Amino acid sequence: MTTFSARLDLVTESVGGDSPRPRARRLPVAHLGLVPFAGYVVIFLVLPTVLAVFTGLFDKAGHLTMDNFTALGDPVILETFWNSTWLSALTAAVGAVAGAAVCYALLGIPAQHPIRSTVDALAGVLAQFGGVMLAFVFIAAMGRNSVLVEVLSSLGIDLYASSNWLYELPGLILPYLYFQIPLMVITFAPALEAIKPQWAEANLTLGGNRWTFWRRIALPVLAPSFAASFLLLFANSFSAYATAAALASQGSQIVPLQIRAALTSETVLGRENLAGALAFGMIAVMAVVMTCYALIQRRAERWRA
Amino acid sequence: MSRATFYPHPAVRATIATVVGAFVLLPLAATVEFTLRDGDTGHSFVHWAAIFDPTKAEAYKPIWVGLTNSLTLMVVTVAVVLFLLAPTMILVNLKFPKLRRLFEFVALLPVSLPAIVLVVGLTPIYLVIGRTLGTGAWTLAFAYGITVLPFAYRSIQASIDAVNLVTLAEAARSLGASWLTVIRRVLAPNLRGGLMAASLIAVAVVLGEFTIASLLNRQNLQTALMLVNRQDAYVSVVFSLMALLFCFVLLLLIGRTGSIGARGKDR
Amino acid sequence: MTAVLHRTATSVALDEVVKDFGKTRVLHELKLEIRAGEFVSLLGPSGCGKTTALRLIAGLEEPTAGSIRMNGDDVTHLPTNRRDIGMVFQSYSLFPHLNALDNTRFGLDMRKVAKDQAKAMALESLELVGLGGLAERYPHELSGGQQQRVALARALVTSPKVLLLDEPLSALDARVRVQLREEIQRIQKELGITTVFVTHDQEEALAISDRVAVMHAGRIEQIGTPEELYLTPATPEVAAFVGMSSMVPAIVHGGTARIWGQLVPVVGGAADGEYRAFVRPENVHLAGPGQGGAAAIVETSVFLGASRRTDARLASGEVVSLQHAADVRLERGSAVRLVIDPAPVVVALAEG
Repeated sequence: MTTFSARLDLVTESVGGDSPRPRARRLPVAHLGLVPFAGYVVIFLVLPTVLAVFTGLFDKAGHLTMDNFTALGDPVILETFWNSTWLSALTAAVGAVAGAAVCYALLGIPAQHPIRSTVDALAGVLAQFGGVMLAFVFIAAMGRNSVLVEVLSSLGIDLYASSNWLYELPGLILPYLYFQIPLMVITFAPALEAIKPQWAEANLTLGGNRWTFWRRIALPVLAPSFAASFLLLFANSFSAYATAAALASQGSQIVPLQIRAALTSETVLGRENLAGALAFGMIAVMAVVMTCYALIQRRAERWRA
Repeated sequence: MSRATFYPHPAVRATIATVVGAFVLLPLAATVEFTLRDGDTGHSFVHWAAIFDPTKAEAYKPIWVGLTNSLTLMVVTVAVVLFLLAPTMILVNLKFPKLRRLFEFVALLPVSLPAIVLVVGLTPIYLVIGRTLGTGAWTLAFAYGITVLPFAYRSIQASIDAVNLVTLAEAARSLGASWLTVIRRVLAPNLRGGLMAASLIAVAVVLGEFTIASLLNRQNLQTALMLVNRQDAYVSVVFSLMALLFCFVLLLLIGRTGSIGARGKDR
Repeated sequence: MTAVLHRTATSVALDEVVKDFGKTRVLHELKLEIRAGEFVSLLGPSGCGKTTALRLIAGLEEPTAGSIRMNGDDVTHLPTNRRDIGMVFQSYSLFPHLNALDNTRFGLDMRKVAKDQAKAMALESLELVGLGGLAERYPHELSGGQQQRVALARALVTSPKVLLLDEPLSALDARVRVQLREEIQRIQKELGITTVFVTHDQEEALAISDRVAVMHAGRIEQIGTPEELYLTPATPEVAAFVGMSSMVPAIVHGGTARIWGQLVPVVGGAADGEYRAFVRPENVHLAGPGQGGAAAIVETSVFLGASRRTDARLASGEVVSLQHAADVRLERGSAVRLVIDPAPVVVALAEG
């Protein structure tokens, strides 16, 4: 017994200096380590958010005013919010269904398989890093000078007969789908992977078949994740800016473009700091959507474990 | 194969792949075709070669300036990720486990705060930065660090969890290592995968970023492409294809090294 | 429910069943006959093919060759959902979005049983497994042991012909395991349902089965009652897997083995020669005064509560385990002499 504790003392001595130091002295140092990051986040995340939300309450002279918020009631602005809403809902719905189909088609293919890695990488690029570049792709692919238009006009169809729609609101639908579908693939794949083969086998042993499996087991279990992903797609579409900015260089049919207009011109509709009010409106929408998302996601994870 | 499989029929797989694949690949193919146009009827690499054409160099200058800025931004943003975010994450995981949930909330907050909204609040801040640090594009990296935060956080945290960082650190400490040694010889080598993934994602995000740069009036690759597009419709498309391809390869690399996600945990 | 089940108790037979996965042969001409109402365990180490055999009975896999019969009818090509079986998996098989009651009645809903009747039967089944009050709970609100009880109730409520259990207790705590295995045995006896139970835990198999089939590398080494397997293991694999045993050198002559100067019968007989014999700890004793015995040095002595198990190294190098009274304390390094009971032993050829 005594030899063991003596050996232990030798070890702690050689390690040097750690044990006898009073506890109080160590804590502040560790806390200091958090300061740089905390400071960074405050300056570049918290502060801009606060500013974005609250500048709407002030006019250019710095006085409190509700003018900017009442401006949100302007029919043009309201129409912008409506446009953003239906565009987001539509692209989210189509994107969710198409993306879910792709996830379904990929079921059972192991992660390291070349098909899977290619799809994952492609989905990642298109979903997150496209922006301006996607706009160029669609102009090249569907614009007035594109191959598609030539082919269609040789068949007697003039794609741009009624209007130059690619550069207007309807023209955003296809480019948005281009990043919504990949985003769905990325977001929804884990939910599909969480379907346990034991459920399918139990279903069979209990007398069920493929239909009962999907109808009574898999689809009900997937429903929350699907809804959560839909919400995520909605939020993603609502807040997208770059593609719209590149395609609609003048117009302001959706909220992000209205914010651009408000930021780049000194007076919009005669009211300053409108951008702040618009930003507030956007955050309000995002907050509602993301809260619902978080709640549904928590329920979905409970079943996954 | 087990009879109980619920996987789709090969015909179903093929149909979905064809339909969605066409939607995804046809525009890209048409874009490539677009860049290969020469005059009204011919096809050649004339637009691709034009990038290096010295007579056009003046017109394309904004792109090279933008690209250089973007490269600088990549370096600084990656530095923010590796030397500010990662050490803080290690610190929180080891010393302040109770702060983990708060940290996660903060790190994922930018998902709900789109760039277009952030920019409204960043404008006054960057006015101040412009007066103190100058109006160089590199200062955008601070904002980019926030944009990249959710992605980088997920990669690094997944790595931390998969490796069971806390246990490793405790084991190393019990064997007598100083904190510096623990970080240098035990933690960093094991986190390499997550750090690498976070850095590569940061590179891809910076490359494609437009919103913040544009509305804060600084030049990066994407704003330059927009600018040049007004004169020359082809060169921006060429660069876009290259950038997309580059990001694609980056993500393939990340996926292959298995550093995204904590697949090891599911075993 | 009991009367109904007695009627549908079924015999199961595997006839020269072969199963290949790609180029690997997992089951070699397996022959297994299970009587109606019998509780048979398939016991063996990982990879021996026991789970595969069970899944073939269930219809979740198709045999490469051979046939599977239930009550004499060939079901080899009958799909799983028409075989009228009940199956309990190792884990994760409860549907997470349904509570215990809805999970349990699932099989009845598949058979289009009337809603009220299905509910009553499901409740009765949950009572049978001791979960009457937890019908409203969801799987994530239940412990591992409770989840497996629900899985059992779900499998039994349709009065299936055969009950199949694939290592149902392996993922549970030790205490829960013992409790639940006794429940399974009790329920099986009460319902009289033919049961096939797969496990790698030999204590579990011996405790609750009518017969145990010990499997190794895709073949059945021996099938028999727990006593038969323990007392007269037919092959070295069985002797090594079932119960504890030590290997000691033995010389066989004229069908009898000579171990430490004593004569011991050999199971199944063997040709003359040098062998290793499998010896059970309870058959090895410390030599009494004047008994001679083999010399050994004590290495470890472990207190097991009701008894002690001591490992001693023979002069020839092997370590022998012996089980003896708890109050006999042996110091490490002390010299002892060992004698053996004349219980029959299995022998294997001495290697190298």
